[in-house]
Amino acid sequence: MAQNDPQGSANTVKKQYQWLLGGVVAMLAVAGIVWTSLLFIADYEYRGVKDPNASERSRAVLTQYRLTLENILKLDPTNGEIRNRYANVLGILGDKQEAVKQLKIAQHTHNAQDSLFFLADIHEKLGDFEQAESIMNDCVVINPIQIKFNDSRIRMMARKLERIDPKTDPEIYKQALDEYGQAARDWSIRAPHDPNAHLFMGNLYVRVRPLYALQAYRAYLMGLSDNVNWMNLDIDLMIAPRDAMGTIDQIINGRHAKAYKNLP
Amino acid sequence: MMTTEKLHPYDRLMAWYLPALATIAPFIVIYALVRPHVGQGYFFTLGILLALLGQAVAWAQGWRPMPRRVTAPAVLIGLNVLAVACSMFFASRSPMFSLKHIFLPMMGIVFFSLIVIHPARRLVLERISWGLIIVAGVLSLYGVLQHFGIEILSYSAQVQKNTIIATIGHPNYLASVLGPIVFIVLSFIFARGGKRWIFLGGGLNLLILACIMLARTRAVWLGLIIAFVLVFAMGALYVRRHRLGMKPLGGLALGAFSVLLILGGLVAVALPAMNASINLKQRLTSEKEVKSRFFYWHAAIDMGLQKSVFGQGVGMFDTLFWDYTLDHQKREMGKYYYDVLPSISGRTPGHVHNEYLEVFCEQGFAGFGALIALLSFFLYFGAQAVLRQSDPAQALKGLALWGALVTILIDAVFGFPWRLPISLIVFMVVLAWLYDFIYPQEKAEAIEASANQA
Repeated sequence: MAQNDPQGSANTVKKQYQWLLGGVVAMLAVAGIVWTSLLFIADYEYRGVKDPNASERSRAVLTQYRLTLENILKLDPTNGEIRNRYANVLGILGDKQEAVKQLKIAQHTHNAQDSLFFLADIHEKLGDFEQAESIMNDCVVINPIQIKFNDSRIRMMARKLERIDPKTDPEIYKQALDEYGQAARDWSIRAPHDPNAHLFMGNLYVRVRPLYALQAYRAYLMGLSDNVNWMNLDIDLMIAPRDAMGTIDQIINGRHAKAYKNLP
Repeated sequence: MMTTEKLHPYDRLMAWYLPALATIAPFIVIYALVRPHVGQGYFFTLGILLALLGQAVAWAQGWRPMPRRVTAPAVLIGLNVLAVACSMFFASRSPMFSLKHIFLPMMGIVFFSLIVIHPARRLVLERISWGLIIVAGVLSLYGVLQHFGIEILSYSAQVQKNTIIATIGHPNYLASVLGPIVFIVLSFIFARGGKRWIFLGGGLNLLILACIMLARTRAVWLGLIIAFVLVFAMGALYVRRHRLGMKPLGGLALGAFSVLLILGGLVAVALPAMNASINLKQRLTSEKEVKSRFFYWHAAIDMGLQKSVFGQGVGMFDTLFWDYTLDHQKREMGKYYYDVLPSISGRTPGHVHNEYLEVFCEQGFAGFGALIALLSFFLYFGAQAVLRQSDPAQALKGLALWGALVTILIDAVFGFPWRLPISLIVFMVVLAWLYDFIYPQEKAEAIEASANQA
């Protein structure tokens, strides 16, 4: 009889455990298969999406691009790389507040230097200049050779100067001018091949003293010329300004310098 | 040779499915995903999940008995999984992101588990090993052909570092796959013996080593050399313990000497003739590259110490790296690593390039401790199990597989092979082999249990 069959009861309990274990593992496996498939589809589709180039950037094209990225993000919401591109498109379409919000979410899982630069750019466009400058300063700290980052930082410093009235806030103006001058000089030493470096110096000369107008004129000419490769210098974007004194001494003494660091 | 007639049809299916999965995965090519390992990772993951679903059905239907004993590796694996879970839920900024990053290594553990619980475990391992040996031969041959500019796939254009990538996608990753297989081939030579195996196996190993040499990688060479020295030392210990005389080791020493001679010939004569000379000094002292690695390691240690119990969260090293670097550059120590910035700028590092430090950074002392415990178990008890073997052929086979483990563990100091599908497969197979030596399966009992379920 069933009640007096301990072996039968044990077998029943064992079968129940088997079903339970099998059921739990099966559910986990199915969940894993579905999730992995969604990630695969998201990855596959994302690799096939191309950024519209400058000539294709009509509002309709960008809106379609935005919708494509939105749909992919539904499949893989934690993908910061996709979310960065999505934020970029939102910024171009003019929804800057949402772009900043998406960028900050993206930074939870994907924190590239470009996204930091883009965040600074968006803050500047939103009029949040202090935040923009702070983030751009950070960009340059961790990527000191990126010309775009350095140019943007010094440009922001120049715009800051334009916002300060030297007559009503002379101390603040002087401090901002000193910071701008330091940054412009450092960059022009490290990157004489960058036309903007000379334009920044021109701006500095114009502001510092009227007698420097000639230097300003010369710097503007160099910055606006097509070929800024003065004296065939071997560019070293990482050089510290004090190390450039060796080259400067050689120039003053009439000997051409071949490179900042490997001098003859 | 074990046969499968007494096995349940499900077990017979799995005895082919798992080896097929391991053998096919390295040849999966999905161009759209850019990096080969991405497509291979999806393939392996889905393959293992399907196998897991099958296992679940097998348990529910009673085709496979439920696991009866809890072994030490099972407990240690459980601890590792627990550490990962704690890191995901208590430390990570995004648990789902962390899960995405740890999913592939978890599938590796499931693969290992499916092998060791199979009633014909040794048969499955033999088949998988055969598959890996064939894979190594094909990949090595393709790698050498790539050196001569013969390209069958278009991956080299997309994946730019060096053309010696076979279907794997990166020379370092290829070396991480091939290096341990040198010892798997050696294990087959020892187990089977005979001149045919010595010449064919030895020839295959030379092809593999030549491919690794052309790939100009560094870490795996260190692993191979240290592993070989340790295997030889352990072999000496074995022959002394079992009073076998030096003949078995003599053959090994002669083989090693021959390999060294041929490798020396390759470096001195053949490679320069193929315009592939190795500038060893340049490879070992490439200052910026070495210093950038040190910076990653330094960053990982600092980040791990900041949240030392459960770490920063799985997958978070890459996300937090530039935040850390910004903070680091503003401190005094930043001056030392300032010159490294141009070589690492414009991208994120991906990984620490040291598995142990990455685990420490992302999972804290909890994860690091669990990992070291698990690896130490296999290192120590694997060696003990091998030294206990009464059959010298089996002992040498086990030693060679133990050498494969040493190679993998050393290679992991300089890369991230456990997060890439094919090198992960090789690692799991080696662990499963050592598990088989430590816990030999009672053949008759296992097959009978399977047959009774049929």
